[in-house]
Amino acid sequence: MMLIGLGAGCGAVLRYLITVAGKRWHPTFPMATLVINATGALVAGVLVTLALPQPWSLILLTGFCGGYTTFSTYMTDTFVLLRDRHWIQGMLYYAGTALVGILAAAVGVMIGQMI
Amino acid sequence: MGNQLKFTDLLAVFIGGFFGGIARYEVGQLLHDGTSLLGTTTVNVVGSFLLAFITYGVVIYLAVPNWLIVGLGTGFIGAFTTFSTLVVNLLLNVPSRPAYAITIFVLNLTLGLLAAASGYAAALALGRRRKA
Repeated sequence: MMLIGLGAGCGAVLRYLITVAGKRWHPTFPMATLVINATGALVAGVLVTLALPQPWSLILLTGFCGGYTTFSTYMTDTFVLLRDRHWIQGMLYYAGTALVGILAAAVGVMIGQMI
Repeated sequence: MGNQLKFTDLLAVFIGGFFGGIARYEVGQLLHDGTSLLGTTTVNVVGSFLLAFITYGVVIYLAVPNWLIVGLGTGFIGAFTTFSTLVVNLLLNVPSRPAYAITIFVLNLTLGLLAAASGYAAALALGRRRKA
């Protein structure tokens, strides 16, 4: 359990740092969270394919990747874009994160199979 | 909100993330997420409600220090919910039971967005009651 907590804590801090940087780079569109979720899905795809021993899987996959990526911010940011009637941006972000995430994880699985 | 990085904020995000990750794991164990995929679904829907509620309720109506907002929102709830497990669960389960895996994935996206909207609406309702 401590392992999951440590991984998730580190993942959350990295996500926070990228988000703070992303707000300067892209003030209106939540690009940082999209990048975080896509890269996290990619890494998770690699790790799940490697079938790591349990402690490593807990700290890296359940802990780090789970804590680094986030679903709540994805949903809240989508809602805010739609609420503010940025329909195209909102739908692009909503569908785009899902599609890019699936693609990234699939690429991760392929990388994992090559290792 | 200030753009400067503070050590207390980073520490709060770490501590929040620490407990958010553990809470997600516990819910997953309880609901047999490995086979049912319902643990991830539950944390994602509940977390989406809570994040919208906290971001638009607590922050607007109460004077809360920034470290507490980022610790609870970015740290705890951010790590409580997960996108990587959601996507990996979809990929792992599509070959054996595509209908169930796709249904769960779509359910996360629709219920999650509804939950965020409800969290926002609940925060607004709370604000109106406090004003009245």
